[in-house]
Formats: sequence, C-alpha cells, structure tokens
Amino acid sequence: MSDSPQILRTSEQQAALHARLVAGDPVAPAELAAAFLDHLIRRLDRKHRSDLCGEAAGDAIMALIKNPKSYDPARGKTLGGYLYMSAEGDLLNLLRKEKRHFHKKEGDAVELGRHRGNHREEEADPALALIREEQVSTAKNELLPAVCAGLSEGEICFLELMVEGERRTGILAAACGLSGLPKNEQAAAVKRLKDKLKKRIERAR
Amino acid sequence: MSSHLEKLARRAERDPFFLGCFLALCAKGEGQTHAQLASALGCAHQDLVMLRLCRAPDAESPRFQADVDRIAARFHIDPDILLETVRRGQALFHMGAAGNEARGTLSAARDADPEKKD
Repeated sequence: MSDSPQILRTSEQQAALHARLVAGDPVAPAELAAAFLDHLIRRLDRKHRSDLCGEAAGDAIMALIKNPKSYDPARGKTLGGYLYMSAEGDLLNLLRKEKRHFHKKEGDAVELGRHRGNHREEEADPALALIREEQVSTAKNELLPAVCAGLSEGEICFLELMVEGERRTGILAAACGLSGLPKNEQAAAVKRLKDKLKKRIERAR
Repeated sequence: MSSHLEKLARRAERDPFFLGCFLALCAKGEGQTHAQLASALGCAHQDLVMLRLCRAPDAESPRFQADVDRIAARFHIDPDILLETVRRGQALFHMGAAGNEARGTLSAARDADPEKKD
C-alpha cells in the first residue's frame, strides 16, 4: 500500500504540488484531490450548509487540474486559499442556478393558474414580460455597484437574492453563512441584514 | 479514503484526461469490479481511487513510458501490468470513439440519401 495522502500544511508544500501539476506530473492531480477535497468541503459546509458543497469543491479541483496555470502563486494567495475562493464561487453559482430553477418551477405553476383566470390577455403578450424583465435588469445594473461597495461576498449574494425576490429566510441565511444559527437567531440576523441593505438601496437611489 | 474522493474518481472515469477512464474501460471489458481490478493491478482499493485520479499517460508523448513508471512507483505496482492495462484501456477507448464516428457518418449518409425521402 502507498503512503497515505499528505496534508499540505505549509505554503511551500502547496507551491511544490502546484509546480508538479504545471509540469505535468501524472500523480499530482490525485495528490491535489486527496490533499484538498475533504478540507474544502468541510470549510464550505461550515459556512454555507449546502448539499452542493461536494460538487462545488470537486468542480474547483477539476478546473485547477485541467488548467493549473489559472492559479498564479505570484498573486499572493496560497493554493488552498485559491481553491477555496474558486470552490465558493462555484457553490454560489450552483445555489443561484438551483434557486432560479426553483423559481421557474414556481413561476410556471403561477402562470398556469393565471391562465385559468382573467389575466390571459396580459400574459399572452411576451413583449410585456420582456419589458418588465428589462426594467428589473436595468434597475439591478444601475443600483447594485453602488450598494455592493464594501459588502462581503455573502452579503452580495444575499442582496442579489433579495433583488430577485427571494423571501425565504433559510435560503437568505444560507447565502451569507448563517445557516448554523438557531431558527429565531437566523430570522433576526436575516431581518437585520435586510434592513441594512434596504437603507443602502434607498441611499443609492 | 473519503467517499468524496471516491465520487470524484467516479467522475474522472468519464474523462479521458484521467487514468480512471482507461482503467474503467479495461475493467468493463474484462467484466471486473473495482475490487477485482485492484487485485489484478496488485494494489489496495484505496490506492485504486488515487490511481483513477492520476493524469493518463499520453500514448503519443515521448513521456508515456516515464509517466507509467512514475505512477507505478508511486503506488508500488508492477509497471508492466500497469502499462498493459493502460494500453488495453486506451485501445478500447479509441475503438469506442471510432465506432461512434462510424455510426455518425452512416446516419449522416442515410439522412442525405435522396431515395429515402419518398
């Protein structure tokens, strides 16, 4: 049996593994995955509490294996830090995609209901829907940069969800890493953050 | 060995960048389970997970033999057995790819056949 996977504690060890990856050492991809996968999933899960943490960590590791030069040690981040940042970005994208999918399903159901009622004419005009979508998108593009200045990545994700109409406390809490809190504290923290962001939006208008 | 690493190794089996793709094809061709493949290679199951996540040696590259030797040395397996397994897996992969291409060409030819339109 071979040696057990090495835990790369120092940035020098991490840099050496990255150099082997760039040089095309055939064993380096396996060692990278063994050294970082579980660690990344644990870190992501502590903050985001999502079933998608494993997929996001896997995506980040696979992306680095395929394109090792995407990490540039000269930029000052450790390999572990870079992988975490990349995996968290992948996770937030997956969460957004999942949310959009959920909303689309909900929207389809609502649309079906409306068609049975008195709104057929309005909903049958795709141009109206496009105009509404355009208005929302313009408002987002104009307001978001001013509102986002100085916010953490989690708060920005929270804000984006809020702007898209997300109202469920659990999802908003997960976006900014509050899933670990008890429900009542989660609700209070989500309300505080909502109020803070609403004030920022008002000021930016 | 973590279940997450096993999942990632399963994902690597679908990608010819990884050795896992060719090992899986070879095992499938022989009707072997992962345990039987590990036994044929002379390694422990947990090392097979790592082997599947190694970069596949490129048969066209002058580094091919050196890469096979490097992997074999890292996991203490016989380089000749690994070489034979990799070559068989790569042959099966190319046969599969050639088969798909031929099927694609045939169906394109059928679509273009004017007599079939009637």
